Amino acid sequence: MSLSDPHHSAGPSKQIQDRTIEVKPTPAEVTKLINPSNKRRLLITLSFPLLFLLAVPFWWYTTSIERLPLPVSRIDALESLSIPSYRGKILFTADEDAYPKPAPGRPRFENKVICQSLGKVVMDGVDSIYERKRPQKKRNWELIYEGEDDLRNPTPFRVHIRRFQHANNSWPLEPYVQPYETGLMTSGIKPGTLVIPVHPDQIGDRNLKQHYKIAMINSLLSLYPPDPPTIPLRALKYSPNITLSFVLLNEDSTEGSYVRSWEIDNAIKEHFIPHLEPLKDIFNFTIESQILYHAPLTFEPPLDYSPSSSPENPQIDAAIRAAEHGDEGAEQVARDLIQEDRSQSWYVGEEDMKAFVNSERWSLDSGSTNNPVLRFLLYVPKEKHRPMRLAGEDSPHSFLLPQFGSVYLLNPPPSASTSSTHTETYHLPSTALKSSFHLFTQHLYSLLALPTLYDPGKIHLPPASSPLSPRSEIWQAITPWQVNQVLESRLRENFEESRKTLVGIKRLVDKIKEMKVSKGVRDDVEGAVKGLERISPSNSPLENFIHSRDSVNLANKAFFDPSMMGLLYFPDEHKFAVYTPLFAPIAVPLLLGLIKEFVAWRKRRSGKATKENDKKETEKQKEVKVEADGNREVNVDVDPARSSILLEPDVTSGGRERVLRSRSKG
Amino acid sequence: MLLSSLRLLLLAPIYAAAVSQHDHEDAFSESLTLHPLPDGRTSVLFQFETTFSSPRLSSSIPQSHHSLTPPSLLLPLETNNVSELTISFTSGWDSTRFSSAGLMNYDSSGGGGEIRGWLRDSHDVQDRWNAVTNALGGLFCAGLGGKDKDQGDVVRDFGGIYPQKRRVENTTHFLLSHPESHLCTENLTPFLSLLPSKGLSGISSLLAQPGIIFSWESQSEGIEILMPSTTHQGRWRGWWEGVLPLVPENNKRGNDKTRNFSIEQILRKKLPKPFPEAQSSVLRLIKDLADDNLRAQPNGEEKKEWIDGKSRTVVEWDLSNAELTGNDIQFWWDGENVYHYPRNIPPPPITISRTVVDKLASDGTFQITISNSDDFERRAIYSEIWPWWVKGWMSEIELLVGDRKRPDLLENLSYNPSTPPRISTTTLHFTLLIPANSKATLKIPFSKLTLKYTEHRPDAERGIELSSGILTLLDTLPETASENENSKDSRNTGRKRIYTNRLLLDIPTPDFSMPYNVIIMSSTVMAVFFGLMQGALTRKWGWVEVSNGKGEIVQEKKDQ
Repeated sequence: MSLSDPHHSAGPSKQIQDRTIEVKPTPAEVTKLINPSNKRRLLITLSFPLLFLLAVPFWWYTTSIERLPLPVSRIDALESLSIPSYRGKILFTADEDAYPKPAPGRPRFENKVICQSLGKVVMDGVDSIYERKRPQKKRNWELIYEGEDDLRNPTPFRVHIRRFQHANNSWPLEPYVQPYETGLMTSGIKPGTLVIPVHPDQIGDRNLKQHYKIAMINSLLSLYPPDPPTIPLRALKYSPNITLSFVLLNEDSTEGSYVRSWEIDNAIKEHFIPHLEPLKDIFNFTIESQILYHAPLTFEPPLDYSPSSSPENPQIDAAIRAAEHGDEGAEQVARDLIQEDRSQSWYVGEEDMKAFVNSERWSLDSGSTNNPVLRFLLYVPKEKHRPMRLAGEDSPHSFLLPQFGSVYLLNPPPSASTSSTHTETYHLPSTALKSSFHLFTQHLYSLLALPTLYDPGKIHLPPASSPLSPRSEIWQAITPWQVNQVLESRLRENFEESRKTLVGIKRLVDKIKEMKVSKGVRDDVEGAVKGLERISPSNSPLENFIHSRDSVNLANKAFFDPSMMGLLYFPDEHKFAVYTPLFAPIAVPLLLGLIKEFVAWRKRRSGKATKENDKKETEKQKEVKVEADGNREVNVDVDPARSSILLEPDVTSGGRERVLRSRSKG
Repeated sequence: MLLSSLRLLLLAPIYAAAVSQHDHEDAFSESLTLHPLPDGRTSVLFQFETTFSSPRLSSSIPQSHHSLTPPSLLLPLETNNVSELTISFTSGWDSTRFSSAGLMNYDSSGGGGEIRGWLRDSHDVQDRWNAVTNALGGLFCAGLGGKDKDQGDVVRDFGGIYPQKRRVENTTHFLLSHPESHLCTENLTPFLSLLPSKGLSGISSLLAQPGIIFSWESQSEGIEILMPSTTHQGRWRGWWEGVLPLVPENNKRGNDKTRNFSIEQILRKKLPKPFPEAQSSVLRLIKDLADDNLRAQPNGEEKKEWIDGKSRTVVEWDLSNAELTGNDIQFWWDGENVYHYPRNIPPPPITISRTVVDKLASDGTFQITISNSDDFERRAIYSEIWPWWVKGWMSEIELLVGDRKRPDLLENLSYNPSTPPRISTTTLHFTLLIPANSKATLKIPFSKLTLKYTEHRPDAERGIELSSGILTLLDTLPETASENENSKDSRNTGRKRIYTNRLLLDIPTPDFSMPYNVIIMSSTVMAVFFGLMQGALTRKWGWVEVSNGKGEIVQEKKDQ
């Protein structure tokens, strides 16, 4: 291009040519005329990068990731927030005649006054026990007395000394928690009340007060511990909705002798509902049940001939008990059972127990919700595999699978008639389900980390509802004492969980700079923080629990918010792949232009003096040009020497430029 | 004290009533039906039916107890207040070769997958439908949910085509068609796990062999659930149907070219142990009139039955009979040494086919041919579901019999256009008369609109499937023998719907590597343009003197 003929070059130069023919300007003039001044060219060159710079804010705004500030200081403050312990009020009452009558002439104290003095002794006793404990504990309850209770919001905790005909008349006293009563003869004591029964014969005893004190201290220590129980690993993490799935599994029903129906609704009503209903503020339970007619094992249990001594076998127990009540048939059954117990059995070892539940092949729950499911499996082995036994001492009938559920092996009694019809089927009435559901209840307690009520030596079984029937071994419904412990421990769990999640979110957002924090996430985090901050000792335990539950929900919602993940895995390579095709080719002329300007500027500075001379001369030339207007000869016949002088800096710079260009090309 | 016991006494009758409500026993029955077809193949149909009462128990804690029913199927339907639901997957049926207008099971839909049902009305009925399709889609390892979260592709005006089996007031019909869905091995395992016998005993153990079942030609699987109401028990039925050749193709049996077969030969298993809870377990063989010399050993119980417009002989074996367990049943055609493929197979009384005649890549014409080989006129509704990008030209619809236009035969046309560019469907219902012994052709010209970028399927390009057209016969009679001692009357059939084939429409597909190419190209153009502009704006112009080789000094433009 640099050597192209001016006559054949583009339009503007042609015009100039024409004009030179007409006006005949000097080449310097032409150069001056068609080129912008150095300053202007510099401005033009700079305007491009300037445009880019101006565009940067827009680019920044349109491509930046929305990161709203999180309440970091409030999250940090949660670290120091402690879970307030609620001070429960325990109403202490006593039967009118539970204390010995004062000797004649002695002042007769009111029932309440006696209770107050006894209560003070009890509280002092508990305090001294707690003081001796390491680490030191504090009593978190208060005894109140008749008439001191808030009528609108009565306390659920009650202690009552009951003068009771059918109580044990030996020492020590056997406190129990009043169960829900049905029938014609009820005691009139509210269910859930801690009852300290005293036989009328014992009232006259000299150490009665000491006995009352010991019984009350022991039972209250057990029912109202200073710290809520911790949630063990085998228990479910807190979730507001829990599904309980009861499954009756027949190993193989085609072989005959299988269970085809069970009174599941009655068994649940009897064994589970009383335990689930008081927890309705904490858990929403749903129950489903099904019968499977085929549940093949993945392993073949080995045959085991060793006689097992299992005095705890509930079937035998039941049969023996029935036999004791004069049932002749039952006697025979018990003998058979014991006989059968000593013969061969199919043995499920510890390793096999881990693989016992074939959850892939057995459809153990509906899977219609995302709730955690606890599965209670009643497994009936096929006739060939009966009796099936589990490994362990006393060959237990059931085993617990942490966070999953529990399995109970039910070996139906061998059929009396060993005919080959193979059509014998069983129906399990609720009485037959008693022992299995009793165990299921216990497993439910440990899977949900519910505290047990009975404490050997401290809390005893309640007396039978009538003196004729034996004491019920089935656990009684959950009492307010237990609900309170569950509330406290779940509050603690939720509180820790929520705090951990919030700190996790904070750290994550800190660490990953590309993580988006949208309004939804920020609101959730704020809600979670607010929920935790609202927990205070002035609220009831239930209110605090609800705050903690909502807080956990919001914290988890924020943590798993899908919007946070969007730009997380957008790598830098990706950005380069999009930006480079545009910016790399644009950058080349841009930078080159700048370098060229810079080089020219440096050269101009070095040859400034010459340039100034040149300037003067060009001015002179201009004058000459104006004078010699019309005279073509002079202008056409440009003095080569002068023109070369005029153009000298340009020539040299052009030469350099050429070098530069070739260098840049190379 | 007294009060509490009094309350108990008062409540006792209520408790008793609550218990007695639950006394209907669930019942399960299964059947395997064989139907030899005129072209040397046989249809095999497995059917499993369970009747059940409501598993829900009124209690403070929601309870649901199941014995023979699968909770994973019924619980989502119950929570979403579904009254009836049908899911069906079908692949392929050739009515001209099989001499029957459709599968043995009348409830099988046309090609592909389909979920349809009746939901009890309430303000959130749409959400509940959504929830049901998603829940059951997960159950069958097949996407049954809508493509559009606004549920634009749900069809609501097919309630007349699929009427309720049990009358329930205030319900809405929904239909979601997935013509692109296939029946595959992933559908068999969940199907078997819904059955109480789990594919381990009874007839279901014959079905639990994916290697054999999936080598069959035409397949159909489905479930149909009628939820229990206060007055009626619920019922759920699952079916699996296939067609397999009887004359071995690569002849391993030496020179055996007959259709002789046995249960063990076609299903590779002897008759299985019955499922103990099955109320009935039956093997059925349907003999057409042409198969008069079809014999079986051991003998079954024979009776006449009216099936799909024809009187046929049905042979039944009770599989709960212990004598049959572990044995086999042989079938042969008397006097058949070599099977000759018939020269012509009588077509079913009504056949329907749909093709597309393409004028241009962007336009086409649906050509639906309905032929009636009976001596009487039939009345029917022909229905179509189109995706939004098929735009029909309603004014140009033609109905021809032979070459003559017969607009008088089109009684009514209901047209619900889609509302593009939302994902929505167009539905069409033509109420037609099909004259006796003739072939009616319905021509619907249409254009293909341009699909949105996101609507193109991610798989290798093979066009997009359109759902089967449905011909609903309006003049069918109950499936009992007709009065005129004929052995054939095509109106007396339970088959009310005849499906066309699915249709693959080619649509122009963009090159999906284009976006990056566009970025690169436009960037290059931008860069070149930018370089030119910058050069032009900042270039310095001047004069240089260069010798032109002749000693003259020529002035040259020089740029810098």
